[in-house]
Amino acid sequence: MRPARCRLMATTTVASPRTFQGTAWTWITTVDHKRIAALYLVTSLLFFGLGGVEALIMRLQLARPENALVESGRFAELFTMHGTTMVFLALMPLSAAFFNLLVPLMIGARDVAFPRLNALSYWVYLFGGVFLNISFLAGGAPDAGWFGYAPLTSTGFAGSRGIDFWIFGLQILGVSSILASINFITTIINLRAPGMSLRRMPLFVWMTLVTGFLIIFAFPVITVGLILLAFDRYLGTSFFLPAGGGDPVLWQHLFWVFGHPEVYILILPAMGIVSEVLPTFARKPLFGYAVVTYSGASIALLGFGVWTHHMFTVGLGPIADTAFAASTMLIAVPTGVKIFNWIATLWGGSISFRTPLWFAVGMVAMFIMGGLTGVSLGSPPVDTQVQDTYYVVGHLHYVLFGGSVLGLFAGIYYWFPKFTGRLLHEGWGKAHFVLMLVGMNLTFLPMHNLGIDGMPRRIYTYPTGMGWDLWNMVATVGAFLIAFSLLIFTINAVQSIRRGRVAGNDPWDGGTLEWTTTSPPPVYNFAEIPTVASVYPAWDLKRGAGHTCATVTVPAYGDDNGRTEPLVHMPNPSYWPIVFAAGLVLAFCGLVFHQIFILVGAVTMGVALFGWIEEPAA
Amino acid sequence: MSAHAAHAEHATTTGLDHRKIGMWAMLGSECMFFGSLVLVNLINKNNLKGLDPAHFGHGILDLVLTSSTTFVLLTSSLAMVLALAAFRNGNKPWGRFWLAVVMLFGLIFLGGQVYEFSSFVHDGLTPSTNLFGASFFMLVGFHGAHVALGVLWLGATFVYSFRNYFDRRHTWGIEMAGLYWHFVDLVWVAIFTLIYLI
Amino acid sequence: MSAPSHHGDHVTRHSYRGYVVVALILSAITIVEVLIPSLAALRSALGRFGTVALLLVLSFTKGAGVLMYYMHLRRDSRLFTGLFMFPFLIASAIVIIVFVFYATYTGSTL
Repeated sequence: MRPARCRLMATTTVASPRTFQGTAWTWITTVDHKRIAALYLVTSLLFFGLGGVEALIMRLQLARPENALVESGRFAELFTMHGTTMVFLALMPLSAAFFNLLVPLMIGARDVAFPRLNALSYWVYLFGGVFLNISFLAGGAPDAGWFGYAPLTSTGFAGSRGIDFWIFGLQILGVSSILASINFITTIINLRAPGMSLRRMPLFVWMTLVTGFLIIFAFPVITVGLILLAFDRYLGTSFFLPAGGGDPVLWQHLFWVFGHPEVYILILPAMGIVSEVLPTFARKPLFGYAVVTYSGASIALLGFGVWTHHMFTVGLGPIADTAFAASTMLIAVPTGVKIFNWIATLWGGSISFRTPLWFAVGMVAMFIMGGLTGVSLGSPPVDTQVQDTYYVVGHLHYVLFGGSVLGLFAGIYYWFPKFTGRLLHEGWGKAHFVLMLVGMNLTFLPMHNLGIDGMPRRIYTYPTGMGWDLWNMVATVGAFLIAFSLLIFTINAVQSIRRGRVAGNDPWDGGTLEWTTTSPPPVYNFAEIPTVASVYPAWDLKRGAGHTCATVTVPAYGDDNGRTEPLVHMPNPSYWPIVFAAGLVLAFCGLVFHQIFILVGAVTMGVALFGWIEEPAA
Repeated sequence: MSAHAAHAEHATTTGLDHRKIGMWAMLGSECMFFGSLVLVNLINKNNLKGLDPAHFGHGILDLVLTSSTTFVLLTSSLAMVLALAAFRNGNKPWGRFWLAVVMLFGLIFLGGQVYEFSSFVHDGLTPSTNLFGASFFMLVGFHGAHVALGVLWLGATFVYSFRNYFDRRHTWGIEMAGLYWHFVDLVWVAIFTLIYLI
Repeated sequence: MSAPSHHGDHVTRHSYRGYVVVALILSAITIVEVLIPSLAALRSALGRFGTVALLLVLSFTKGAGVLMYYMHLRRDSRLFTGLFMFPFLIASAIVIIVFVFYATYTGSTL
């Protein structure tokens, strides 16, 4: 039993000197999870902006019937890249930014299990994102939709290199995600603070663990699908081509066995964030912690059993349709359970109406709407009517934008002070929220009507007189409102980093471990690894009976005490991760450009691999 | 991979090695990879584009050759686990001997595969002939690529064993290579049964 | 600074005998498996379904042997068993489900 004495980090000056400062080289060679998180955060927000621009151009084209702003081929590139970018280059990495930022801190660790692998995941993602977007300059971006149905992706219909960029880009991004997930799974299993059993882990950490498993089990399936597609395109096979005996539906199976778990990969981290934000601002613990955890795990497990609901109109037959309609309805249950638990968390709480809470509540409300339309889509007769219409576009944006994006912004507002030492401006934050919420609803709510009225997806224009004109215009206005709200956010963020109110260790009175260390945390996270006795160890420390809280000033390293070596030995920085990542992506470049790059890339990877092994670790 | 030194004051929660956990997670992921390839094979078993099954379908498979290579791979698994045991006993010469046996048998297996593939192509079954061929070459080809990678990995392990990387208390590198190798053998057990025998 | 901790049982002597016994059993099973396609009488007695079932059972046994004894799952933490069996079961379920789709509507057979 530990002596009844707790150690809280004293509030140091705003920025712990070393954590985020340094030359470009320190960023290139970093293996520190906090810096890697910052890299993920900035990069993913930039790609989010890129995907947003692609959306705005589409909305401009669709604002009026028979518009001539964008022609059909270019429009196809836009909707393909918008989807691919948002899913793989924006939302997933934004979640990864939070995994990196928070998991080690929340479990009381100093870093992840494999720090260099962590850096590798980021660099592979960055180079992969660049690779995918180079397609715009190299003959055209992919244009067969983010889900690339066969045989549209065959060389017969899509002879240009765009699809190849898509195939290999996704493979590269898959490598990044799988490696990162193995890292986080191992970290969460193996690096928890003493006393932190799985039942005392913060919900966000639980969701990270579950998402990690989803990634490592779902991605290999699309890896196979993409390989088969590449073979069809270049090595004369006919896996998906009827003329050779193949079946386009096989692609759909492979894609959606991956694709459905993928949407849970996109939403569970945001749900984890909401499960952390609500208790803090209701000033009471999450209602039904165990049940929320089991629900998250069940959603993941069931998520592997519903993929055919994306294929109700393919003609698999009534038995298949019924079975998967049933499993789809079933998966709504744990989701609903979570929602009720969130509501119960707020109920009777002493609510603090700060910006993170607004975003979290907005997320719950919007996700309910998206979830309800999702349930309707789980009914084959309904789905048959609205498949491939704007109804589905409305649904998916309510869950992905209303759910994931709002949840991730809740996280940004909540943890920004922890990582920069300063608070984002409350007033501007609320303005961002209101404009984003209104904009979002203006954009996506009418799409349900449009879909029911018969407007198909992925069309670059539509005739007058269909009755679609008004809602398309409204949606376009809404999209620009969203963009405007993001502008407000960007200005807020840039201003607040330098001139925001100083946050101190614990501006929100949070319950989890990250709030017990400085803002930003020192490189080594905690002076002393805490022992944990509940789900909310920070609340225990601050409010626990019988504990005297003596604050202990812990110097950062290289300080005025003349201490020149770090308090704690941390893993050394390394340039092998970026080198290996460059080699990997170079090798893939060889598949689209000149084959010599395959060799150069492979050699680079080999050199980097041995450099990595030989490097004195820590 | 970074050593435990950075976490010296913080023992692992489970007492298990990070790398072993990571490796088993990776193997689980590979189950889904090979599972997808197996699925494609099962679906296309009889998808011959109208060609004669005896020469362009199941009949082309040489059970004698493949049974032999199966024994070779199985024996290599034995050698692998003996190598690990030897290193754990501190017996490096025998450890290296068994590693060399694993590599040799791996290469023999690969030789058998190369022979099999080239004889199929010679007899007119290529990936573009029909879906049976395409699926077969994909699954068995990727399995072979995994074997080849394993041989390279073992080769590196063999070389590193001369540099005092593996004393009796630090055999995790051998163990990781072993887990990978046994998994590859496991996949072959599945392939052999589902594709060749059934 | 303390050295990284390892488990005590690496100090005990590891015997080869158990592994060789397992290898012999796996070989015996393989011989049986290999003979089945040529035993027409047995195959017709079991029928297609029975033959397939028998082969699957035999190969599962071999697989379990490799997993439990060569990959040490029997001795090790159950975490590793879970990390492997969970995706194995999901993969198996998906293979079976999609195969059934194809069997029913295109007539693919095993």
